[in-house]
Amino acid sequence: MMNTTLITIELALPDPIANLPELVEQTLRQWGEPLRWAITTIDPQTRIANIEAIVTTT
Amino acid sequence: MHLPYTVMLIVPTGIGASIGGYAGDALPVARAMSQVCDRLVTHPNVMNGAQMYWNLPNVLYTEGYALDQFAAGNWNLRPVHQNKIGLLIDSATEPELITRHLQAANAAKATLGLTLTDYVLTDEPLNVGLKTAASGATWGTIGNPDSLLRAADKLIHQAGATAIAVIARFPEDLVESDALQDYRQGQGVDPLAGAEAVISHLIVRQFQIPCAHAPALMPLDLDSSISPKSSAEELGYTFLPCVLVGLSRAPQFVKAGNPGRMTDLDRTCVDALILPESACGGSALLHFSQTSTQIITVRENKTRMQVPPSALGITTRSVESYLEAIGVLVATRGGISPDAISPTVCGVRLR
Repeated sequence: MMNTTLITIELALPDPIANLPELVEQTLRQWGEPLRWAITTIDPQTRIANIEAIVTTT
Repeated sequence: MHLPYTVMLIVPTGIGASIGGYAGDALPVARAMSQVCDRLVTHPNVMNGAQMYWNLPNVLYTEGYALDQFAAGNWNLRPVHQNKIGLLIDSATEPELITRHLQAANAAKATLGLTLTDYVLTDEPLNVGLKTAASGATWGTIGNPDSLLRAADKLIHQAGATAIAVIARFPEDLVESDALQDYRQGQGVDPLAGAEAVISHLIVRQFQIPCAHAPALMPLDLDSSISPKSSAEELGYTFLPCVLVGLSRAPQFVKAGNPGRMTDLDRTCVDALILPESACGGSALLHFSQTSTQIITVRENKTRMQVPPSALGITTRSVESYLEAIGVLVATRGGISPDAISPTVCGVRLR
């Protein structure tokens, strides 16, 4: 049975950001399969990104 | 030889965009932009205004999950003459509301000549849940996603649908919420939008066909103070007409690497991408930032997101307004550097 869940995570931005989407999705897979996500804020000092996402689990 | 000039316009859903965060209020932007390019790739949140719609022949109406796959280079877009639209209705919807939606579907057949399959009811209520995250963006969960996918499977494999229009019953307590009242006044964040995106993303991810969503709600009380930006959703019993029109000619999706047609678009076709300046934290922008596509960010379209290009180390052409963005497109399409249309022009220097 599939479930949809809203999660919020933090992620240190890589430099460069070339593979950032793949990194975000790989990180989200710890909670489920990413369905929709967005980086909502980035701390300019720490370069930590806040990410909100819906993941699906079965 | 004519080289088509292709533009992608994104106004992310459910982030309170001051232009495009309400009831089809980015449609004038899309209409204007479609005049200065050969092809405009955009998404339902931009084009849908409930009973208000405008059929633009050069628009590729592409759902958000598919846009992200397109931007990643995983899927290509295949323009079509028409789709056969399957109507998928949440069984939690009251019979009277179902009848209203079926009338809208029948009107689309009889008045617009669209092609629809017979409709399918989900075998369980979808149980849509509305969420607001810390950022202020709205999201949503679906209690019975399997039921949604079973109904879509039936429409595709039994009824022959090539696009899916979903009607989900949204929680009635929404009607009394401050969020909805703010939205009707043209303020705040669309409380339904995030859940709508989740519904269509689920179907597009699973079946790789066009999908869009219209929420089912009982008619709201008459209110003479509704904002013009939200008024399109006050006009009738359903939000379905714009969805059916958009889906009727929405492009199909083809996995990259599969045999293509001359008319298919891959991401290298996109000359320019336009989006709100504060909303650069999405998958599509991040993918295009690694390509030669020109990225134009619009400052006046405020959102709840706080991710400007500078936070990511991305260089974009930052403009104040969509009108300015259109000027940049016109110049670029004509082979004219927008920087040359300025009182001062920098000379060449030794590198």
